[in-house]
Amino acid sequence: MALLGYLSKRFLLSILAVLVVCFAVFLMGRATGDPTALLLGSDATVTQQERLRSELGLDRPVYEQYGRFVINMVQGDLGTSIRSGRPVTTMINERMPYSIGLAAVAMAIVGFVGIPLGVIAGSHRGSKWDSSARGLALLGQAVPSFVVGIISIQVFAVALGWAPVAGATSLKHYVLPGITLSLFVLAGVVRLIRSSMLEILDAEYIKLARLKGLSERKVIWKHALRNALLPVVSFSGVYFAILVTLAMVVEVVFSWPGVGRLAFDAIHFRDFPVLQGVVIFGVVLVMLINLVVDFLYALIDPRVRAASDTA
Amino acid sequence: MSVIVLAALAGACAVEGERSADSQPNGEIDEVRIALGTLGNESLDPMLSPGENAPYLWLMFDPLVGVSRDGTEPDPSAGVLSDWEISDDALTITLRVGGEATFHDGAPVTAEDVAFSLERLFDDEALAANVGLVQDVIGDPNNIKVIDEETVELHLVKPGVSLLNILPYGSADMLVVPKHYIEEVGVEEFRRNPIGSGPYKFVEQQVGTSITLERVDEHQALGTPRARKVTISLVPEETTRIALLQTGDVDVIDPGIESAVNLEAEGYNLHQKGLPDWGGIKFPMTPLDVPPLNDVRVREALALAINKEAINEFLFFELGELSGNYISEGAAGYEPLPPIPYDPERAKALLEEAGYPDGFEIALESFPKSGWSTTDIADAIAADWAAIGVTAQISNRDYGAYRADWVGGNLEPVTATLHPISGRYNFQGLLGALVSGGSLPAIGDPEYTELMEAVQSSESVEEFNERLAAVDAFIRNGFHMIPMVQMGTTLVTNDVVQDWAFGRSAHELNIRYFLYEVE
Repeated sequence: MALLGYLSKRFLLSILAVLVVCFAVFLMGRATGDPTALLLGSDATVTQQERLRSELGLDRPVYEQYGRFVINMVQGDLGTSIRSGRPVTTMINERMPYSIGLAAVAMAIVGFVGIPLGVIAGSHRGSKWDSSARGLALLGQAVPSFVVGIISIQVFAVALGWAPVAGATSLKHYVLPGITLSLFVLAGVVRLIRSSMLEILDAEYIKLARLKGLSERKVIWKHALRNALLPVVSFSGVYFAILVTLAMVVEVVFSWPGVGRLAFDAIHFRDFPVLQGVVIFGVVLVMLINLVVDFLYALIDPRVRAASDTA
Repeated sequence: MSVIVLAALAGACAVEGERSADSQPNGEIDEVRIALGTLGNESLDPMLSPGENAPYLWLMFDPLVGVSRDGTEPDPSAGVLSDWEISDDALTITLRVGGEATFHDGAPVTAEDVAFSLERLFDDEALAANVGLVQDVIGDPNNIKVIDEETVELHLVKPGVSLLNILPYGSADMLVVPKHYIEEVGVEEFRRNPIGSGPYKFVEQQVGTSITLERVDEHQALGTPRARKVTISLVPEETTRIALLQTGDVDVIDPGIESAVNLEAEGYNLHQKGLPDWGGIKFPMTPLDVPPLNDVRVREALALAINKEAINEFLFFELGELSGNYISEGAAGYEPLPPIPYDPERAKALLEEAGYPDGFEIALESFPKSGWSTTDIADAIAADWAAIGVTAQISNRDYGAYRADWVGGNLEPVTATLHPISGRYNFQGLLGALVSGGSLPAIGDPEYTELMEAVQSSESVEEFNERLAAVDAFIRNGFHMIPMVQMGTTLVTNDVVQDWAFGRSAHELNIRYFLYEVE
């Protein structure tokens, strides 16, 4: 019962967060200027511009526009693209599989490369592995993704011919953008796992495991890693949501037809409904993932249940 | 394990990189692949399409009036209309349908389709580039009359010589759509699966990615296209487009000027569009009645101080031409005017004479134009002005934000704008700014107003061109704007595309003529 209350409270707070973010994006989008100026040619008459503004509802007071938007949103209608006239929901649904697919590939790389690298770095402190991992982590977080993307295209696609340049028509197209997208999160995971391992390997139960004669491999990969993974697991959902929604730069560089590219075009053309729709999609995704993670945590960790009981 | 995964991923990436096109010029080509930085709003309906949609729309649909193979002259045999004429008072335009054109479902193109296509431009949804001009001159869709199966009459509310001018050079607005098909399946279905009468049929669209078209067996005016398939892809990032060309994944791209020159040095083919874009300085806060810009000597000084040759050499890589015109070479009303010379000494003397021996401050606005390094050009202009004592505060921002301030009158009173303009917008921009009550601030000079009203009341094409040329001369001689360089859009191709005349329409790439280039 207390758990239900806890989750209900989290859910309501999430709804509030969605509304606040939407309102912020709504206002910021409109602060950037009138989209009709970009939609119509430079020889458009004033009458035309006023007519288009009326048709798009842009002549209404801002609070009325927002109210109408919220009512429609609750009913699942994210509006119509100013630029293309297509339903925003349709546009996002078309792009979402590409973004989710790319994020999944990036997360797989994070999991299969980042975690082992972090473990090796943490368990071989001061070694060349540790230095390499820390160097990679530094580069991953310092070098902008568009630089990584452009360089990887030039090296691996143009010069070496190992991968396609751009597009999303086959599995091999996922490689370069997937690696590029994964780097920032991979860098974070390497550092997180490494520091967790350093802490855990000094723990008493690890010393006991060694004293009991367990192999170092078992000590590291079975006992220490399990605990080192906890913070990564709790963030993995959020990481995934971030990769889905913040892949704009990677999607533009690799001409990937995902939600990030949709947001990029929407910003460029002042297509408010599309921009709002993409933001809502991202916020809701993060919200849902957080809720699921919270629920799982409450199920798994008795301390969380105890805390909610007390509350 | 991670090494194995990486190796597996690398192994999965066998790249083909082979061109699917036959590289023999004039021979049959399997596929032409084009990568562009923008496809507009990707609508398949001409009515909803800005100019950037033209590259694929002009393959799917036929224009009212076609153009010659090099794109410089109207060609009655290449469009839907076989003939057109304007009455002596320029208030009635008669359009005659050729009778040869057929839609992709076999139905003939008739006067009903022509009338229907023009009537759609009065719809509230219409976004095509010349909608304002069409609505202003025709006035009401009821003024479009079908006389018989081959004849349409336009009864105009204003003299319509300007309308005649855009018939062959319009963007998406002058394309003919099938009335019977739209009425049968509905406009939404038409927008998903369009049919036209052009040399290519719609096959597939992946929104945000590409449009694929396949050729018709025989086009009534152009015969059989030599490329079986055309794929036009949207690739926003320039370096990616260049990489695609270098790996052989595409045959045609639209890079920036510097990249185009570098690719030409690597052995690719550089092509330039016939109707050049205009690059120069505008004084947006009109009327020009605020000191110091209200003094023609000050404006002349600013014009003389800019080293246009150096800008053309170092920033346009000599692909542009110095020009004294606002109207692009090849457009209606073009009569060549001498470029404004570079004379900083004379500029300083003029400033002193006008009462500004120590110069003054001016805001210099610039915004991006695809392919142009506008920030570098703005820096160059600012440096040239600094040499005569004029301090420019440069502001680089995107066009939308700039335009909002411009139309709203919120720019600094003393402002100059580096304002690249697509070649199509010359006389239409002037007209829209003044005569049709357009959204841009008008120049505001009574003499200019009188000259533009004379343009609009022209009763013949010759009169129209002469009066427009007079406006151009007025702008140049009064330094109401500072023309600098005219430069055609650059496209770069591999050997699949060797000879290609891009034509005159600002956005249409004249792809249909490349595809028919046979000796």
